[in-house]
Amino acid sequence: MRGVGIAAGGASTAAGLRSGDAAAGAMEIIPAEVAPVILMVNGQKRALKIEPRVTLLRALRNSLDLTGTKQICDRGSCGGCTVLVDGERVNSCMTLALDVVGKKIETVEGVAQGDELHPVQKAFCEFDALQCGFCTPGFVVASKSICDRAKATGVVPTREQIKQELSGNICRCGTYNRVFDAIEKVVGQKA
Amino acid sequence: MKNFEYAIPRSLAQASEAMEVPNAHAKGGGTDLLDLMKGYVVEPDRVVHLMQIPELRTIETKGDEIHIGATVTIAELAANLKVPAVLREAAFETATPQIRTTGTVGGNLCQRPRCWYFRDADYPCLKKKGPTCFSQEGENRYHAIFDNKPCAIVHPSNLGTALVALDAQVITDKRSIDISEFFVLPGDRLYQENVLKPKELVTKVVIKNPPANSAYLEIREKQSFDWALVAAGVSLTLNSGIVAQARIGLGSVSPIPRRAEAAEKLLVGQKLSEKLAAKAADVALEGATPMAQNAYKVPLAKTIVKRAILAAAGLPEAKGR
Amino acid sequence: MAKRIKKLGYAGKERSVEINVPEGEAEPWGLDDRLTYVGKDIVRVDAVAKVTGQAKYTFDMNWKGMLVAKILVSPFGAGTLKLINSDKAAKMPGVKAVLLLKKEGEPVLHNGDELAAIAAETEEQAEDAVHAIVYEIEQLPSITTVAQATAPGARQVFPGKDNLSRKRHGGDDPDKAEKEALAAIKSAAKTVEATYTTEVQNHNSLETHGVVARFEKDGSVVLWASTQGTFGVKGDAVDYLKLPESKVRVIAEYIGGGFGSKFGIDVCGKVAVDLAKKTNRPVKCMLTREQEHLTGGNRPSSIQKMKAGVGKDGRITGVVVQTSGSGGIGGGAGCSNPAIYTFGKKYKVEDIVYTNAPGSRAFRAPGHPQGIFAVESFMDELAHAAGEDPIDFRKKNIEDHPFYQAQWELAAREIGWKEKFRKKPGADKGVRKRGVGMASSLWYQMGWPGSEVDVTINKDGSVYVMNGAQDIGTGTKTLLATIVGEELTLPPSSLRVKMGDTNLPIGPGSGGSSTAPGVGPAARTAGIKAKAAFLAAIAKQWKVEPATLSLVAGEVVGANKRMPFVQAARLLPDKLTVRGVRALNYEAYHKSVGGCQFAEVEVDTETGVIQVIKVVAVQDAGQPVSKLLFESQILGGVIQGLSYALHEERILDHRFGTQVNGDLLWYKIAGSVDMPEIVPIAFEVRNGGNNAGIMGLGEPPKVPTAAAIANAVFNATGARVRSLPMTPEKVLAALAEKDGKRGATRAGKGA
Repeated sequence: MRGVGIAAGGASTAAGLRSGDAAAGAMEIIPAEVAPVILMVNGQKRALKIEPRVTLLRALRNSLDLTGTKQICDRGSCGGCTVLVDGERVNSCMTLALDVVGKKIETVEGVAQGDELHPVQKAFCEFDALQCGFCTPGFVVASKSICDRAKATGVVPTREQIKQELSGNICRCGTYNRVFDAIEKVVGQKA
Repeated sequence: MKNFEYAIPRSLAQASEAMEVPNAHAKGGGTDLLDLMKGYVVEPDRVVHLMQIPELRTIETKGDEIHIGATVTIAELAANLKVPAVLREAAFETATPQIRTTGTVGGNLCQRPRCWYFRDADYPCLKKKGPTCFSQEGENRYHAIFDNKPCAIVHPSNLGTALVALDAQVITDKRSIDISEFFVLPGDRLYQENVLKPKELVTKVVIKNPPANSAYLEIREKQSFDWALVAAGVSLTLNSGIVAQARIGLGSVSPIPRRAEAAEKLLVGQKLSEKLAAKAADVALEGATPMAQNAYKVPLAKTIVKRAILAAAGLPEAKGR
Repeated sequence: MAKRIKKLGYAGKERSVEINVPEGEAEPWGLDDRLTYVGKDIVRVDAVAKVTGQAKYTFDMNWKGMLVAKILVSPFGAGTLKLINSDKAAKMPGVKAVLLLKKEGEPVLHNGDELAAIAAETEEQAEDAVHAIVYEIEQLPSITTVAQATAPGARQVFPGKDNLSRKRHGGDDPDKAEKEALAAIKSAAKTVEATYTTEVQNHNSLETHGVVARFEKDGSVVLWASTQGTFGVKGDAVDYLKLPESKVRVIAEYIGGGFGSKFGIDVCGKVAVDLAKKTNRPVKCMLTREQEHLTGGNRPSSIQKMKAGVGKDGRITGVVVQTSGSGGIGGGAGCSNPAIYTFGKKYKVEDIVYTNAPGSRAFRAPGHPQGIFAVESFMDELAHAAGEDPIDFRKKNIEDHPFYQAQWELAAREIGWKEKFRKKPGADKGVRKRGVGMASSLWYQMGWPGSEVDVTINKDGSVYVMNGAQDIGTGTKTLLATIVGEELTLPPSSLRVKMGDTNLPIGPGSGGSSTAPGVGPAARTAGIKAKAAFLAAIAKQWKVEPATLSLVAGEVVGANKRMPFVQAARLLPDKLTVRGVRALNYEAYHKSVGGCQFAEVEVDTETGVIQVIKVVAVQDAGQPVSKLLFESQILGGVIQGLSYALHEERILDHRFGTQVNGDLLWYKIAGSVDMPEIVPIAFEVRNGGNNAGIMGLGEPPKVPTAAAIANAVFNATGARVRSLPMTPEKVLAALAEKDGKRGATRAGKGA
């Protein structure tokens, strides 16, 4: 290990981090190697083996075959890789997988409950808020989080606010206005 | 990107210790660092993750002081009503909802330039210890109109511009630095944009006695996610409409968030009006030395300074977009 | 051939058209025909797969043993590859094979020119290994602008080939045409001259170009390709690999956008198959976002000079057009003008200029957004010089056309032209000024024979509709389901559509807005044949004459019986499959597509920022099949057009030829906050031409947006912006010019 005393305890604490239950207060130094990690994805414990440099996006797509989340710009500028971490929207391409150990990760695959589509997914279909569909998972996750927040707070966002909330998601086919319509329908619905 | 050792300290002391290896890099949310690493512009052997240190994550008020932890996210900053308007608005204008959830205050202040030559590993520019600044004779439409030699970057931090208008202090694990001393011009120091020593970590930002009236405005080409063409953060202390104190920060015009001191002096003791604000804006842009492609920034910057002054005072014609 | 008279057109402008219907073909739907599903809001049949993340694109293909390939490209625009060495890279962790794509000593022609490729176990390993390839390019100063390329003594981009290729349009005698046009302009009451520039636009499909190649044990190969032409990729692969057709299969079930850029096996396809062969493992080769900017294609730039004369009667007497532009090493920089209106005596010179820049590819209505931007802006300038309202001026200067006038009037009403058109441009007081502008579109009759659609009815009542071409997001799958559903009287959502597989019947590449008019009529024929075969089989079971049975609202009706389709299907002795073949085109109501867009803008005259408030987009394309999806195409075209008008520019460093904004940060694509209210209006025409009366829709809605916005900006401010993208800098310059001040800015280069 590189010359830092704490690193000597590396092996056991690395395993500790990757399973999410590291000893409180202890620093961990994870070596630049493939090692086992546990992530909570869509309510399930998923085991994978990755290096520290693997982003959450690639962990999902390449290690867990959850390819719903897309790699589009890989630099955090388009939102195509949007997932929820502890309920908050992040660009998974700019998040290290190791940073979300122990956190609740939700991807597009987890938005529907079995065969039952989430209201926002139903609205997307109804309003045709998609075309080629490649940006759609990012928009669905972002839209779901907007609708969930509206439900939880009782505050119905205006169309302008919806636009602001979606400013991190790019669509090349041009579906934006229908996404706004879909969200407006869902948030406008009475509880 | 190159693989790296990943350190996860749980206290500031551990973090400082983790930084004590060659080629270690601190990381907050990672939205800047990962971009640099993916582009092979920086290739650390060890990355030190700062988000598991509780003492860096809080916003606290202590009397008339606000203490903002370095790893408070930009979204948290934007949502906290105790934070002065200029800083909250600067936070809200930053990037996208996704990036604001992840990006941190410290990371935003320490982010590297967005100059497209700097971000391209195939261009050995001055800041990367190469021989030349490629923007001087190259594509410089978004670059600086002040202090643009030898290097013409604009500092990309919105928060920096707002903090300049608040006379903030940057606290590190080693010292306290006035915001006016924190950023450095390339002429003074080429390989970094601030005075931090290697391994020194920003721990919080402190704002003392913020004025009640403040605002932050930007002009952008695209109203969705885009960088500012020009930006201004203004804070005012008003006594019955007379300006007792003014601070004006200019963004996206210089390698550092730029104080417009002469413009501030013009306002003090005066009753605010659009005419006065426009005059201050003219003064704020005096001495600009635009490059071949960015002269348009001069009138734009004047407009945004004028509007930010009026917005801070709550006077009409306050919309920057 | 059977002669038929059909009432075609649209309400208020009908015409009886005599049609020669080919043998075995159905008559086209006319105004007297009632349709149940066609023309209604039919939901996209693959929407659920897309909103749940289940849809698998080429980029998503993943299976054990697959390798990931990444390509190394030149960062610079011109020079010679002096050295390339992959020894270090080849030894890096996970690397399984290296491919050199350019040899030492060979020229480099543009940023993005491919040098080498690496296949490794993981994406991260492949990226690191590509970064570790050692190479040296001896650079030449890049030729990146039209001016640089055409300067005296300029270096030739292709040694031995002139950088400039000139075409003079003027029939048999361009000199005469030029003389007459100039004379017509000289003698006119008013002369107007203007130069318009547009910049290079990169397609930026969100799924990058890419191919996955997998060789099977029997030596055949399967390619998953992000493509607009499955059969085109197959043809290329057959040639490249020298394999028989039966041993090559191309699959493209879902594609993340194309917009004209994705045809053929391309470099990533050749890399994938070469590395798959070399390593004996499946290989996935996808471009990076930066490479997508570079080798994914682009719309060329333009510099368009227009000069015309207007008579006292408000009619244009003559026009001279001179265009130049660059599609990098690819040419293709024509501008589609003069067009739509009558220009009197016409003469045009068209220059294509080669530069050290990535090669152009067809991009949604090639030549048209730029050409029509110039034409429609110019029409407004002519109208203004003639003292006429823009719409009235156009009415004076157009041949009798079945749609335009009705479309203009419809759109004008919808946007409130009467109330919102400022008779004196720039009249609004205050800093923020509003105005309206308009522009027309045009496209052509596309769609030809060469498509076949199969329909299978199974004994369990399930119906499959199959075609091997691709649905690139335009909704072709839904179109097939709707048309077949119409014939079988079944809800489109109950049919199952399979597309994107060359094992299925042949279909067209999705270019030129020709897919829908290509496969749609074949689907209708298949649906009609399937209905006949189905009823014949049921009639046999019921021991009645087939002619006594029909399908009504999903039931077999006749012989004093009614039976739901699914129940009747159980009577089939076996599943039945029929094939519909696309016939030749025949007579139509009108052989081209029109359309128009009216825009309302607000311009902040202190910042130059344009906010588009509303766009009314009226678009015809013959018969809409799903009106919902038809409107989506209109919305999509308007949004891409708006983004082209205001934000997008491919920026090259003019010394080294590097695209400095090869990302989605500095290459600016319109986002949510930039969206206006958009009112898409499907202008339904029963057009004939083919049995479904379908015309292509994908391209026309992108064409007029930029001009409509530019014209609205003029109406709002009195300042004319003649350069795309209309950035704040350019708007401020135009305002300064209008006010007689010298603007502190650069004009657009149209490089």
